Amino acid sequence: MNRLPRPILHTTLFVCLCLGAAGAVQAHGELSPVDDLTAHIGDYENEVADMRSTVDSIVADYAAGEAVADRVDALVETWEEVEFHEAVETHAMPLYPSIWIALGGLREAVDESGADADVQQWQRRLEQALYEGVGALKLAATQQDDEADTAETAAHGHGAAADERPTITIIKDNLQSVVKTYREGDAESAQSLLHQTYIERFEGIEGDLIERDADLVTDLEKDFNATLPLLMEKQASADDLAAEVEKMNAKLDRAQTLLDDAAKDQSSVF
Amino acid sequence: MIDRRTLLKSAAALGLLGPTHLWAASNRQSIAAESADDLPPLVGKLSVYLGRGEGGLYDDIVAAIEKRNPELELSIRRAPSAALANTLVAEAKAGVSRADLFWSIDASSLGAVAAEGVSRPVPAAIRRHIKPDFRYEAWAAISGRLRTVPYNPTRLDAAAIPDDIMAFADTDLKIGWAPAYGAFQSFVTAMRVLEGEARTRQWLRGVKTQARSYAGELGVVMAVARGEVDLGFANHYYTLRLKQGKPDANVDLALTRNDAGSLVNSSGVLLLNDNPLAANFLRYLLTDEVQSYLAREAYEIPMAPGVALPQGLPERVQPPSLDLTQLADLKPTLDLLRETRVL
Repeated sequence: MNRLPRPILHTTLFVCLCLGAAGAVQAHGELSPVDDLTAHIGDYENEVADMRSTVDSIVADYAAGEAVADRVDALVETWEEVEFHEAVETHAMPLYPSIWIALGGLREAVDESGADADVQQWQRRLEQALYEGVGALKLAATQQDDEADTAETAAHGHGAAADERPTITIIKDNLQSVVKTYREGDAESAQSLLHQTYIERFEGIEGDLIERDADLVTDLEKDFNATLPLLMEKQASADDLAAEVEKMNAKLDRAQTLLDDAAKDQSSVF
Repeated sequence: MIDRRTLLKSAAALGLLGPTHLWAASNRQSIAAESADDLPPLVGKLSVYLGRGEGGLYDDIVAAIEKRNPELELSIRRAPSAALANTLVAEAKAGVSRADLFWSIDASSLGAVAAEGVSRPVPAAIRRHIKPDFRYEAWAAISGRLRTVPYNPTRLDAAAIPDDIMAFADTDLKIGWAPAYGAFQSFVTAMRVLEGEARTRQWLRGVKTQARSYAGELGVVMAVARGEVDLGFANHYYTLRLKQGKPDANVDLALTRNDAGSLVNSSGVLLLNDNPLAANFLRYLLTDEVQSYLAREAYEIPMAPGVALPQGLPERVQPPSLDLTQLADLKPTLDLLRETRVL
């Protein structure tokens, strides 16, 4: 299997959640059908338990010499149809290929009459991938609930829906989460979220900002990549971190004004 | 409906070629970019995997195409290019195909998918609308970005800048770089592929003694303009954007020749099945309108001939001959950067 040697599949679960949250909104703003993970976690667990039971049965019968290829095909169809599939695809995307890889491996091992050990190896990988998916969705559900609270606050203040928040707003919300996570004692996750916010959010808007205020962009880059990470590395107090984030918020407000100006000047495609 | 397993088994591996010789705004053997006015309307369902890039500009383009084609039912999945490439490969291995088209910010992820034999060749009629030096059978180049050497003309004469990237390790110039940046790591990967691991290690160690690190490549360009360093290594568009906002900024662009220092990487599209709608969507991305938009708003290098280059882009560029898909092999580069304590 020629997989990309990029770190994306080796990122922490925390990072997976960042990516998953970004993918929660489908094309052009409509909400994903799985936009209430908390309400469906039990369903996902049941679906995964059923799939695991099926896999166990298939592997046991294969070891007993039975033909099971059709049942593996049926398992793949089940995976394509369950709600858990869409939830992983939407909210825990970096884990999604692992499940397909394991299903493909199981199918190949069975089709090629592989040794029992090979088949069992893919069984373990598949079950591990499925349960990692459940774990990721549980954490994503927590984050989704937090975001819903934030969105409700935003709606009262600005009339903005969660899926339509401007990038600057998302950055500011994430920075608050960084402080909250750090205050709760999880500096590693706070660092991950900070870095991910820079890569996934800030880098996407800096192009327009450079033309209008390059010094501001440089300043914010320093905040993202030096000031805040160093504070956390030096185990500064959460209040000190929060104070720096407050300073960043003022800069981000100016960035929003500049982006609004840029949007007015931007040409159309056609 | 396509039998995806049959498709997968029967698809031949497609050869991939990197940019060949001299980059120039050459129009030889090319047909000018099409106008969107000349394209058929897009009607029906289309599933696109979109590797993120260029801020929201790709989304703006998608939205504009949708607006222009109200009967197009577009399904978009957005994620980092590498994650989508892994997904496509995994889906293919499992015998399913859920996307019609993969539009990615970098060629390496396209190559990784194409190498699995799950894509379709770009039709010759479409390839003709791409600059000859960037025509590949397996994927369609959409827009490019160039490695450059931004330098401060008040501190340095252009003639004093080496045109060989490997020679920078033997100078006493103050250099700015951003080792944690993806574009820089692709550049080092290209050097590793072209020059070998030993020479790259030597280069990293040599430059490190005179280098100052920055978080991002905009930071590098800004440091050059402020005179903190003499020059730096960065993608072209940071300098062009800065000069657009501050025309008097003390930074100009120099280029190396035929080496990793002048690498042209490209975004592109992979067709994943024979759905004509996917091919026609690709044609939209290569129209004069979309290509001009990418050059105008993102300072990207248009891959369709006859489209104006971004203002300020060096005219004579000589990129190395390199299989861009090899840039996907990032791990040895990261190992090297850590071993030399550059990262």
